[in-house]
Amino acid sequence: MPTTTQKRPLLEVRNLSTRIGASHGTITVGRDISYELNPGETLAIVGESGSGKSVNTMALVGLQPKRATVTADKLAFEGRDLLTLPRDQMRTIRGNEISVIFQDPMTSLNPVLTVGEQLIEVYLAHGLGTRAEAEERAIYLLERVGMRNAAARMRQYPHQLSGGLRQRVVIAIAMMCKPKLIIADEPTTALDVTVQALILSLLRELQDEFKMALILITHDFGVVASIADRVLVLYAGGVVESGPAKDVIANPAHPYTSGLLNCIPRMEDDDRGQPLNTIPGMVPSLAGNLHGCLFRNRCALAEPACASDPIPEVAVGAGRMARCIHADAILAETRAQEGGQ
Amino acid sequence: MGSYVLKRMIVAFAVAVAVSIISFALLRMSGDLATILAGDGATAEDVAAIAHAHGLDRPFAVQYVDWLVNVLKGDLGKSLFTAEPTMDMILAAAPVTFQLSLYSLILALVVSVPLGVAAAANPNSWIDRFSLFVAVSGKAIPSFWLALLMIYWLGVQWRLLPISGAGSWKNLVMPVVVMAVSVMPQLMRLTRSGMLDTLESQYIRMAWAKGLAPRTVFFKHALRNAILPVVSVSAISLGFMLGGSVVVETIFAINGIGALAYKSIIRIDFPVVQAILFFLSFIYILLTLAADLINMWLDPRIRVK
Ligand code: SF4
Repeated sequence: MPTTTQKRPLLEVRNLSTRIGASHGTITVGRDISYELNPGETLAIVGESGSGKSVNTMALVGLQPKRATVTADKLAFEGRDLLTLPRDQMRTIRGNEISVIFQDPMTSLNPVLTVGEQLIEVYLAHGLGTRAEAEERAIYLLERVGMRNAAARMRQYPHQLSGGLRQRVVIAIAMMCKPKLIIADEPTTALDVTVQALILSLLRELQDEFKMALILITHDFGVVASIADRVLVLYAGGVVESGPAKDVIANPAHPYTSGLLNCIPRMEDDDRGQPLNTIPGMVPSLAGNLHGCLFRNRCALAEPACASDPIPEVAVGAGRMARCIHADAILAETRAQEGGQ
Repeated sequence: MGSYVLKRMIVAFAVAVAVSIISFALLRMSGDLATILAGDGATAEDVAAIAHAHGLDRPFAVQYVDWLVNVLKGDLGKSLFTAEPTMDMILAAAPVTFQLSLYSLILALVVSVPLGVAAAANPNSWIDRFSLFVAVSGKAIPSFWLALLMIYWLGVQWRLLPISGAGSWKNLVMPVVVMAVSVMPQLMRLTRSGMLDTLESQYIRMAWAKGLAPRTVFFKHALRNAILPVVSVSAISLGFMLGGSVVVETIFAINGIGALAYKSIIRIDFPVVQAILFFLSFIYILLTLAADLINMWLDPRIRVK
């Protein structure tokens, strides 16, 4: 693989916004989201349900809901503008250069098609080779994701497999065309706690081996800690904090991030798929004109200035930013806490 | 899979027996058959004689069991008027009705399934509205009226098609269109609603995410899931057309099952009516069984149950 792309990020997102037209006006589910992703890198996009983490990420490959309008100052994948790309060209990227893994493996496979067919068709659709080659790669990948009797599995139907096995199939499908980027939307949330860890380590391994970049959508900082290089924390459709995963987890600079970190679900809690509700209060309505910090109705540090627009982005260390008027103070405090322990 | 089919067959057999009992009873409840047969001005002795001749004076259960035993021996009775075995009459009338119904179903499916898919793929578009218009008109237009319109314009005014009789494919065009129009709306709406449900599902999102062509997503991924109820209803529609084509067969002077049933009911030829009902219930059962088998082939989840 040429290394000339090292300078240019694989994916550049600048000021991505998503609006959904409703009967009673527009709902803004994504506001000015910006980030970059380098080849092979893992970015975790974290937030509660309703934070817009899925919608805004699926919008990258045009998989937003029908009524949604996506705008951006820049949305470039290897220099190609994904927003203005004609539909049929977007199709050549989807499933081929950018793959998606959905949350629920029980419903993301077609019940009437064999596992093998669902693997092979994506390879054939992108014209990567013959049916025999596709079959060979499918069997190889099924083995690679840890399935025994791969050749026999090819002829099975999804309902004959457990949830964990199905998610392995979904991962294998995502890898059929050797993508440069995989978008995984809560890939383990619907699975058994014991299976979750296995699938995560499988993803990490594959990513290393095949040098893929990964965007992982999650509500779980435990997952972030175990797999992500960088993290983007979304709240009510806007980025509240971003930076290297280690640093953000060790010293959050935004009240929302530290709130989330205080309620990492412990492995023994069986609260999969549950929204994290341990931060008191609710995400505000995203209808109409929004101003100020949208977290202020739940924030212990809120003050009148938080209602004024815009809340500046504060650079808090190398590659880090937080969108809070008290960011520096919070960071200092979390650092002090850490030092004091 | 084998046991599933066997179970269905046992149920089907039970249904056939039940239908025959009910139809047997209904025929006898529709009035005193002997009195009607004897006609106006008949004496009580005449009526009694007729009742005795046809075994109608015996208890219901005895009549039924007698009939059933004969059926099991392969004897469906004879016509009261022509003394022809009812089985022969049915077998003579069946082919044209079968042909008509089958072609109608095929025509209805060929139009309604693609239209339903197109409507679901583009909700609220012109094609969706057009399909709704077609469905509503198909439902609203009575068969006899459509048949008469076609006869007037295509047959009489423009002389494009023969207006009655049998023998050429041209004779089939109008009756087939009329019958297809009557079953199309349901098949089309069912395809559309099934597709709309399926298109919402996660595996369709996944199919889009794979970068598949819309044609592949709609037909290979969605339609195979959405078509299951359409298959079941197609079987019922076909059965309905086989038995219910009285209007069409009468208007186009086709000597099919519908016409035979109509004629037999009018002249109280009750053995023929009974035999037709039995024959149709049997066909219905075969059709639903066929639909089950097709669905089993389409949906692997049914196969393992
Ligand atoms: S800007 Fe104000 S309300 Fe928002 S997180 Fe910071 S302190 Fe809280």
